[in-house]
Amino acid sequence: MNRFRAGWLATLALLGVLLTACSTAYAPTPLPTPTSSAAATTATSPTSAAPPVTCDNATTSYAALSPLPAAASVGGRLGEIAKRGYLVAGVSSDSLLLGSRNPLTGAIEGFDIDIVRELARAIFGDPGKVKFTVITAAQRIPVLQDRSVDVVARNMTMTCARWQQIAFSSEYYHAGQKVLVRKGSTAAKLEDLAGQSVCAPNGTSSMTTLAKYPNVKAVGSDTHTGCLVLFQQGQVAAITGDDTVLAGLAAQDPYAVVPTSAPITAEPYGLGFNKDDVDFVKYANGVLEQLRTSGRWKAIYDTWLAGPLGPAPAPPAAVYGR
Amino acid sequence: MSQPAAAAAPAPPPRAAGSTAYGIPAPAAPPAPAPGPTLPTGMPLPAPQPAVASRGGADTPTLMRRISLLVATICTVFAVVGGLTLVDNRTALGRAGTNVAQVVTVQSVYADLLRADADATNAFLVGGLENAAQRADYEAAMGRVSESIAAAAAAQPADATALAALNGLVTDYAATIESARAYNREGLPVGAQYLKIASTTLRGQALPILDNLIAANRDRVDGEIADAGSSWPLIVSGIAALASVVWAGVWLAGRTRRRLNVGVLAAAGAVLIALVAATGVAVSAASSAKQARDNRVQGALTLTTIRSAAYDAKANESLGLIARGQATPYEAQVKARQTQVKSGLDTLSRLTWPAGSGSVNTVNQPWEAYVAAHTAVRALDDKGAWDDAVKAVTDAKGATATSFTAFDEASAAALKQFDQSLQQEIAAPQWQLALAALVTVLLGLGAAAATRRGFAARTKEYE
Repeated sequence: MNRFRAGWLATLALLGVLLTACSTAYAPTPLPTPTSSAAATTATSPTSAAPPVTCDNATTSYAALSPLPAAASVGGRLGEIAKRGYLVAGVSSDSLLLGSRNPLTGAIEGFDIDIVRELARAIFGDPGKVKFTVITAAQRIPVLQDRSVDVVARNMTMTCARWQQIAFSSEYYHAGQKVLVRKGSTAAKLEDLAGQSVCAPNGTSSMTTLAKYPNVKAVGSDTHTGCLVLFQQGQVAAITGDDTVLAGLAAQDPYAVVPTSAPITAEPYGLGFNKDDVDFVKYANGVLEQLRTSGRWKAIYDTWLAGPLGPAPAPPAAVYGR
Repeated sequence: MSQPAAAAAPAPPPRAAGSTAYGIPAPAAPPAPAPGPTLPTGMPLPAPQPAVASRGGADTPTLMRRISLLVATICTVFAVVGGLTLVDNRTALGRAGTNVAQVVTVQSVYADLLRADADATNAFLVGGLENAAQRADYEAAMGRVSESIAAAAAAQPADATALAALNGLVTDYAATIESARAYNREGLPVGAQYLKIASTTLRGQALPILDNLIAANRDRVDGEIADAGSSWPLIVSGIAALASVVWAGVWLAGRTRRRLNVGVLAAAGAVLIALVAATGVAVSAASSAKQARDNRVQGALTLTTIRSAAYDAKANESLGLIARGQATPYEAQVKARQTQVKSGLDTLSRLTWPAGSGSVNTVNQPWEAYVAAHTAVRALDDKGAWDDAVKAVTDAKGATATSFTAFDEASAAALKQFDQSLQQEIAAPQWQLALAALVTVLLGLGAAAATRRGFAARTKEYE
């Protein structure tokens, strides 16, 4: 009888082993290893910013063609554009007031856009013959160098370093770098923001300036609007950029203000061209000259900038002699 | 009455006269049947029966009892192990079915998220006031995402952590989309930036979790189907039982000089039938499970994969137009997704489609039409006619929208068919396995009982 019971016990033990073997649970599904995903990027160190090229004629461009010849007769790049039938312009689609997409109409509009449309009007007699290519600040020089656009109108500051790589028209707007802070903040300039995070788009002269303030933690983004999201999410305390751009950001957020203080730097805007398109630049300078003298420049300013930035100043004077 | 004890002692009939009683030397055995003085009581000694082997040896009835117990135990072990193996195979098959359902659920979350994203990004092309039907489609897709995540977490505890992380990201995504939408309705460009961030969160963080979930559950399906095909404990215990019964029968025949023992013969027959039938059912269940996996599961997974890829292509089509003139990276993504759909359709064309679900052409034709419509949209944008391109993409009656909707509906119908037939095909062998398990247990226990009975009949003859 004992042996009989032992046999059954062994069988039961075997059964138990088999049952436990059956009911093993699965290993948990692994999570992907986290990658840095934040939109914010730590700004590149000042050493890797644009090389410090100095000159005293950053706003000096090529002499304007006057009177304007027919575009097709100029030849070179401009002749090709005239033959193609439309202009390709690199612009911003998210800089309110300068170049932004109107979500209600889908159209890109702003001060920079109207300047390009005037260029198209001069070439084709039709301001609508422009294909807009949306680019980030950092793409402005590469797209000119690889000729994927004919002209860049994207609040681009004329600097000596950039003249090494591309060509500029004469100055068409005179902006200055300022800061945008939270409503109620006492900070009015970059010095007041020591120890805090300040955002600027990568590859801009604003970022180069920001990098000169080692006490301020520089945070990069792809566009100024990207900075505004970081600002709204509380990831940065302030945004620095041109007064024109900051006015467009402040218009989108009632809790963002641009303190009225002297600009940190002067930011002369020029239209960007491929370095070799000298004749095209001369032609564009002729167009800009007409805008200044005809009152059209002031009309465009009044449409976009008079509200947030006050009455129109005199258009910046062209400097030639390059 | 007292004298002739030894000579007259009744001997068991099968033993040959003069032979040693047990075939085992019993050197130090009690000198029981020796001639000479009889017991004082004068009672005849019961001759060989009570003799006990001194070193593990035993007399015939004891040996018979031991052997019958041993063989009966082996048969019982076969009944238990064989039955458990089949039940385990059945459970594994059930779990394979559950895991397939989980993969399909997770894949549907993937597809619905990209569907919602395609709706949200396409709405940005229209302007601040989006199409009501498109908004409803977005809401419905996100609703299904939440339900499916909850259902998947309940269905598989091992996925709970990953699904919790996914749920957090989906909540982030939905909140960012709502910010984007609110700003867009006010006509502010920051809305497009929120849309971009939402898209980055979705593609950079949420989809990789879903990829892991799909991979983990596919591995589980493969593991369970392999498990469902493993029947060696059944075969080993069955062969052991059969061998032991046959050996016992041979031994018994040799010992008793009777060729046939009905009990042992019945036991051998029962074990043989159980072994052959159970192995047959197990092998056929495993092969039909493998077939279901290679055909139906493969088909369902391929369909959900191409649906996800198609939604992503559609979302990237819109993102490419929103990025206006900078479509190249988005178009590269569209092309990659188109390739993925194409190879999926190739796979589907090689599979046997469930009866009544049409063929791969029902899905392929609308897809080809959509690809052609997309190519036309890109041509418009590339030559500078951005407004026309946007009109083509946002027109609900345009070629892009109608062909994509047709693809969506055809692939959804095919997916439903594959899903249903795979559940049926995986479930079908389960009752066969359950029945085989029951039969194995009954026959195994029956063999044990028959062995005991057959031996008992012989043992009795010694009493």
